Amino acid sequence: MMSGPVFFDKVERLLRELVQSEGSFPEDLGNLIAVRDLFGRVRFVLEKRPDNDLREDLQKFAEKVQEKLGPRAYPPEQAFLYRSELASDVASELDTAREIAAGPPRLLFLDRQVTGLGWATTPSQQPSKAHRIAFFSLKGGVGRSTSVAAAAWHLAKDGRNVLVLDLDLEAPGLSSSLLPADKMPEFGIVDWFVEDAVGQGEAVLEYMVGTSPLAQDLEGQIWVAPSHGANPGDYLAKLGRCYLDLPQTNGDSHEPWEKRLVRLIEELEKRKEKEAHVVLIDVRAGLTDLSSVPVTDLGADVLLFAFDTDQTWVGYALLFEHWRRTEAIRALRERLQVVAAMVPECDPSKYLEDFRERAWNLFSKHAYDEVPPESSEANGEDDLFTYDLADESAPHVPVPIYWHRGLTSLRNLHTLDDHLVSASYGKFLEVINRLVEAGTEDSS
Amino acid sequence: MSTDFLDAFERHRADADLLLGRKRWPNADQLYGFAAECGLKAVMQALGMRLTNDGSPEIRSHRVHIDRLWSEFHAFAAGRGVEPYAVMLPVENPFSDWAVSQRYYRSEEITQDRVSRHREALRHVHRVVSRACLDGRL
Repeated sequence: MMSGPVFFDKVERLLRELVQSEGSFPEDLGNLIAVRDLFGRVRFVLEKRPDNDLREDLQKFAEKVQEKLGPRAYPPEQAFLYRSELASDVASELDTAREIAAGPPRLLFLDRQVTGLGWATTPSQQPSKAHRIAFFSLKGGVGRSTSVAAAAWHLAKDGRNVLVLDLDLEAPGLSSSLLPADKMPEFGIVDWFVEDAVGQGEAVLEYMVGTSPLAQDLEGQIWVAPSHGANPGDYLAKLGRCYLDLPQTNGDSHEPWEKRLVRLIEELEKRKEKEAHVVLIDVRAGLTDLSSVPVTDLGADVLLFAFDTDQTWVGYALLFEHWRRTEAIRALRERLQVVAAMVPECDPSKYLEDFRERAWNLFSKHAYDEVPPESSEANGEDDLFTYDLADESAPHVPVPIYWHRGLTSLRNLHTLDDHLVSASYGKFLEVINRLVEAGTEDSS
Repeated sequence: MSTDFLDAFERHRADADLLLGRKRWPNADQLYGFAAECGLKAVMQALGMRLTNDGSPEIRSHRVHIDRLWSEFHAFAAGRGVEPYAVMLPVENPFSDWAVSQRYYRSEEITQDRVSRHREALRHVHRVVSRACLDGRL
């Protein structure tokens, strides 16, 4: 009998135990896919409706499941769906189920969620001429947007053309710091979403990129696509319509909003007469669907901004745990880099040392490959993705941005001072250089 | 006796396919229309559409056949914050040329081409129904 409530996180383990207990599931049926629905209940998908002689066994299995999972299971008579009876493109979602027991029977698990599916998508292999770097943090107030501006300025000084996207739509602000009011373009990213919904995206695309005066004496250019335009209009009414999937219309198939965002970014990269070499994306803070796209879907390098606080590491552990569980980490880990934001003036080396250790704990638990004890270089350790705590080239080693009074009191970023920037951002900008140069080599 | 839209969707769809196989175009076409209606009503009921005691939708605008129900479904799903289902249906109603009164028509007026289009259109409804099943709403 079931003892006490079965909580959400127990379900996978209980299912594994159940299918592994001998004879609980008819062998001839091959793989078993468990689908956890929006309400957190589980049912199973079989290839097709089984022959009569197996029905009784399945009924027994469903009863056992119900006994184990209680309200997290479907009643036995509704416990099975049949793939052959589902529409084929919906059924193809079943192919993304991940294995949770090797079997036999092999048990796969698919989570149907209301939101948040984006964090585990496989990054796009879409070739982009421009090198993309996403600036991500779990919380606001870590100096992320200022760092975007500093990086853009530095790259433009080096003769590169930079396109900056303000995707922090719920907390717009980067744009006004990079673009004074008189340089703001007519439209912003939210305008594109509402116009694209009625097939008019093209009409605003021309007028949604402003040229930042920050680069006026520099060799390269800084172009900014702000979240809103010079006249924001009813920003909230437009924001509320950004996360909208588009239905199928004549000739065009249904387009989820994440795909629309990727399309927008690609259009913006293409449309400048002078090519953008680097695209810097200021990502919405937190584990929201909007932040998931630039982090996982664009093949971008991802800078993870953090303070060394318990709160930070608990939050990142939630994200990394999800990435590890869904195996998305394999595709992502080579593109991650931790950034220590606003390193305090008081004993910065001790701060960075503690920071590194906690970041290493996070990466070694979720992102790095485990080195088997008998492993040596001869038997393939080289292929493992793993770093020591001390390895300076590791993604867990924090790139410091030092807190500086001068920068916090800057009212806007139209004029950045060389000394100020290198004192605070010296190391960080070296890393930006390294990423961009590595990207250039890759694409050449 | 009770209303079971999902069961009716499956039944009308299967019977329509049988009739289509025998080139019985007019009645196959009628059944594709009924199947589409029942599929959408099954999802609407799962999303909160209330029925009266006799099993028909409480709201008058929902008591319609597929030639009008298609756009009602869009409005209904959007109003409940479940656009993911609505966007699986094209905006244009492919059943706009279907009518329940066509059961009185002469046989040759319902062509093979028309039935094929409606059969194809039913796939959209099938996708919505399948998604709602996987999501646990049906």
